[in-house]
Amino acid sequence: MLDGAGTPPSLVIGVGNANRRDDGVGLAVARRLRTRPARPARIVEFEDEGTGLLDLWEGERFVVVVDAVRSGAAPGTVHRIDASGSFVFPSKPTTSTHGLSVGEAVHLGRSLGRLPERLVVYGVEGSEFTPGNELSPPVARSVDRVVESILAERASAPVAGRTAPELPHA
Amino acid sequence: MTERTISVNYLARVEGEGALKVRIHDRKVEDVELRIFEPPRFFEAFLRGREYSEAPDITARICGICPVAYQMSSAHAMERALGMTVGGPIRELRRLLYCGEWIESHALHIYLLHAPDFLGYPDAIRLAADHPDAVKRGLELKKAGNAIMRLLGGREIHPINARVGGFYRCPSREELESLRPMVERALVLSEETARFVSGFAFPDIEEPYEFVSLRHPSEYPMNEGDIVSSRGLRIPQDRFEDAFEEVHVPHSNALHAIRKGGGSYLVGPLARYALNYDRLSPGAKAIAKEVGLPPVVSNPYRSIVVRAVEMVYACEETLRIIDQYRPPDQPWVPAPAVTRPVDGAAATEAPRGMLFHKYRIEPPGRITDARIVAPTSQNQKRIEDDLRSLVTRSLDLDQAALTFACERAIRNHDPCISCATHFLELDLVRD
Repeated sequence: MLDGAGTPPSLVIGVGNANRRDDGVGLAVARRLRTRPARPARIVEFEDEGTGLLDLWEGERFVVVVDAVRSGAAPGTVHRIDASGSFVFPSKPTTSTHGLSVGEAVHLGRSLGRLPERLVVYGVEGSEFTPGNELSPPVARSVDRVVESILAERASAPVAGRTAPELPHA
Repeated sequence: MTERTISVNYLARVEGEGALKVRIHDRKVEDVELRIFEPPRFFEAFLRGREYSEAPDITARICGICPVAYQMSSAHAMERALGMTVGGPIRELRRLLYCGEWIESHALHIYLLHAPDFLGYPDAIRLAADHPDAVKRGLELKKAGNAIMRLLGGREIHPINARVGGFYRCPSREELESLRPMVERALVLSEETARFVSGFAFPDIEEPYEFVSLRHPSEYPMNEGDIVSSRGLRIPQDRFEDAFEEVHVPHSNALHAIRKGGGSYLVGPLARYALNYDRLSPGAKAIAKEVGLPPVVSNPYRSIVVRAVEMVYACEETLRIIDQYRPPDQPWVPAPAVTRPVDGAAATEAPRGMLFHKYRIEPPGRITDARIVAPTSQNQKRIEDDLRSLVTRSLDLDQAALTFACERAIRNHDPCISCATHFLELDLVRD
């Protein structure tokens, strides 16, 4: 399964809504990552709903997705989840009226055999999801930390994610 | 004496912005309150003071699912204000862009949001496990719609290529031609979709809708036409406010649109189809006939079949536009200078119904007033009426079943609350 062992991510997808404050943290990470010389080959800011992820990561071997989450942890907490295996994203018994969240997109991709070989999801705990463009201070401070972690990602990196946050973003 | 309450609340991050509450007292429905967060209100305020040319890009951000609708209604409204006429290939490309959005939005709703209700699954993921081919068909259709939007809209997400007067850049014939194989395949898949969804079991319900949509002399409506209703209304687009008003209701900060002197009305696929059946393409009419869909459908559950027929139409229309396309000499029509205050209004057909925009522009070109009436705020009261009749005839269902039935009744109308990260969360109270 890990035949790309030791290789960095080929695609990083920052998911979010720039008009919903902390919901834009994935986009902020993607933008910051672009300024780095050793950046991944492909960086995408993704504001569409979740099914588009299946097309985006098609044919990619090692993909990192960054999104805002709400799990009750302190704002700015960074969760790392290895989603390549059988990890189940917990979700409340909710019914979306539009589109899928990242967690739902991963589950759908798994059902349809459309996941990349290796998929890591970073969830940044947000606190402010009101209309607006600015990240809250603790979330803004976490952006560089996520960028550094992604740059250190190798396909052989151990699975570290233990927390089970709800991924709220569609 | 028993009192029963059904509540559907959004997650706290959009707290207070949308909810459903149904109150039943002594087996009588006392209250149905649907509140939906309305991003247009927020946008109306910050459009003031911006350049009129910015409106298509700013308003496109209101909705991630139907950005094209916002671009089209705002561009047309500005063109009306400035006395501009946009015709020929630019007009055709706008229609093509809209076809892409209809295909994308309808495919998403049919397969991922609506079909699970009929097939007994809680969501599309569980549906995909048992019916992978159906979900793959939906995703392939959505991708075809996306491809059209990407070519015309300039990029994958949040199209940026549409502008007042036309487009920043128009595609070459070859670029448009490159869409053909994908769209031909999407046409076949859309027909399969109509056959697939018409086989679902539909509750035997008809609602007394007043349908409202655009109607054009020769086309199935997207960008142009008069506003008409199934009760005889016919007015030019810019007279929308003569016939419709938004009223404050006690339970909500949001405004509810109603017919002046009347009640609720319905916009969206059921309305467009009922009022424009005769304008459908031959293939769309043929598939409607094949799957037993009459020219007027008043059963809200059957809207899923109407959406499939509209996808067939949008694919056929796309192929027609590709066949006939010759690039324009200029990608956009230049706008005259704004020398005095001017008003402009326009309505276009978003996938989920008519979207009305009205602006005032003052020299040298600033927006001083903006009004946006989204399809979902127009349908809000009508959805409440659907819920009232549903609950009245379903009082014997247990709480869980009745709550699910209410959610389903809301989903029939594909409400557009996707400007952010909205979910419906269930909160049941039984007295």
